[in-house]
Amino acid sequence: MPSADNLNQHRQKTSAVEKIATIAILASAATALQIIESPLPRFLPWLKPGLANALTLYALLRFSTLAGVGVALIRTFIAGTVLGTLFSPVYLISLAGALTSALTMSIIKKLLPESGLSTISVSGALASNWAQLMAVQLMFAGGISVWFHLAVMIWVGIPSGLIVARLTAELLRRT
Amino acid sequence: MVQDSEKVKKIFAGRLDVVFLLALGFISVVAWLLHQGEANTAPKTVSVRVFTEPEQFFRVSMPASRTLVVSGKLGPAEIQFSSAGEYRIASSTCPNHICVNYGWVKNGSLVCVPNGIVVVAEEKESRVDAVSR
Amino acid sequence: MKAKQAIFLAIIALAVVALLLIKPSPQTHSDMRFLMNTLVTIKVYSRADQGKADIQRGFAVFEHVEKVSSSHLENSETAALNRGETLKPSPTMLELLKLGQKAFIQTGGYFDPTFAILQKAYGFYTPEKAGRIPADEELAALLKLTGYAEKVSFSDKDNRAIIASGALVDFGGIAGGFAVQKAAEAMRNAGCECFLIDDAGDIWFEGSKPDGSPWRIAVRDPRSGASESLAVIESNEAVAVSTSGNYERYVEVDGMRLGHIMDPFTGKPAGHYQSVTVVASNPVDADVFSTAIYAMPENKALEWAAERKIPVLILTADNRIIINQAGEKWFRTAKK
Repeated sequence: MPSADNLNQHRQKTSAVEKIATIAILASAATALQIIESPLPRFLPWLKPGLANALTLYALLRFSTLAGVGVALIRTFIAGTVLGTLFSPVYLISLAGALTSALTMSIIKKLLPESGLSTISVSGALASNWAQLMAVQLMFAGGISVWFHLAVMIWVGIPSGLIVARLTAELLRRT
Repeated sequence: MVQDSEKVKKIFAGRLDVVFLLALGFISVVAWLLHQGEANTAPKTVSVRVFTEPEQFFRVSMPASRTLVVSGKLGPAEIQFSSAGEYRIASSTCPNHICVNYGWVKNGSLVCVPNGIVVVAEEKESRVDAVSR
Repeated sequence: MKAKQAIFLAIIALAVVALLLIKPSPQTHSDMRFLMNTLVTIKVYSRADQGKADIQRGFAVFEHVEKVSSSHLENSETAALNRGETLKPSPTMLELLKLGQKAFIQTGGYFDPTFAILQKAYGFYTPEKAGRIPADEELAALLKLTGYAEKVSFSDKDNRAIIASGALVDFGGIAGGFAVQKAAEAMRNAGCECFLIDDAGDIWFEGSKPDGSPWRIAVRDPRSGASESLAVIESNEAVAVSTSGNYERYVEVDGMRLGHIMDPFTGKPAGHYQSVTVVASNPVDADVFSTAIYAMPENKALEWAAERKIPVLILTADNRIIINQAGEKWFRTAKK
């Protein structure tokens, strides 16, 4: 007859396995989104819709910061492998974006617990685009019009952040 | 699945979200205006380089209505600027006057090879990287 | 609440400040020099000073090619050949000789460095470019002295080159593209990834620009009073663009302009077009193709280009703009 201890152990073991499996599923869904997004034309190299961040946000809220960061890192790596861009400048740019987005969203969630998904994901989108722009600047040392980039970043960040918020809300509601 | 202790989040949970978005919108408008201001205050300048020993360099703010006389490798040349923002090599002491025949230019470059003269418009973001001729 | 929101705002402020600070390092290095009787411009997109060194590397190649091949320089190897000397060609010269032969065969004789003898007859080698029109009998006699395959012989093995007595060579139709190609090679080998080389008639670019925008090359409309270009080429992949025309190297006789590209059958300057522009995968091909096509009559030109899927843009002597099927993908015109 299973004792309370055994049950607990059993629950912990399966939840560890389940956790990994769930993260794997989330990461692959995120990878798919990133890959689907990649051929879309961009008029600036660091400006990306970042739909995959919805899954990062989901993992963040549902599980933990670690899970969110994990999903972000894994999907960047796998997408990089599939697209053949591993360790290229493009990869570094998307890594910067994904990581910054995950961390920022986690920080916002902790700092401002009363904020809704919109604030969290728009912040994530802005942080991601900003980090990607920084990555481009570091690698290519360009001369840029700051105000222009800031304005564009916000205009793209708000709608993409809201879409990500919507996606995440749906996911949270259904699971 | 392990349940998180947090409740399911809503997209717009309160006033902060709206304020945040409005603030961003405001910042973006300000940023855009600042950018526009930046773009308009810089007038186009045209630079003239003469490849003599030593090299000569002139810069003309456009629009201007004047004639600049330079001493090229073979002799003097006249570069004319119009108030319409265009420029041309009006005369040059080169054998074939290909540069003179090129005519008025608004945004491109003018070259007199024998005399060693190059006239280029300096613009912040040029629309083409090169002209094939 | 207040403290946390303050921290949030502080982070945003820091981010904006960081953005402002990262700005001013110059994005492009560019320089221009008069070499090979034209203006050579090299642009590099790279970090700090590395770009400047790479640009000088590129110019050094042009200087070298000029020293070897210019028919205007007394000490060049071409000048030696033209004096009837037996030459021990340098590796660069040998390469040029081989490319000349390949181009001659490829274009069925429409590209021929031995047309120099015709150019001379028209006055291209006089200092003031005093033009004259040779009589038909003179041209017929001169044509007998052309034909690269017969008149130019060289041997890799014996390291020897010589041209037939009375013949002349001028590599002007290929030296530009050749120099661009060699310069690009030198810069690429030095680690330069994103650059453009422009010698006015031959352009080559490679690499992706930091802001992700494609390379844009305008094709000049040579007609006077035309401020727009004939077409614009936009490309993210590396390609070579070359234009041949009668409006930059010409002689004038009685107010009439005669170009420097000759028709191999009549020995007279080809007058079918005002300008021919091609796109190719390397600068030497681009230079050869544009020069050769310029000499061909319309039907032959379009047929020859179609066979090889060469994108071409032609402005005919009677002001028609022709873009062939392969060219439609490349040349964008504002008006049709």
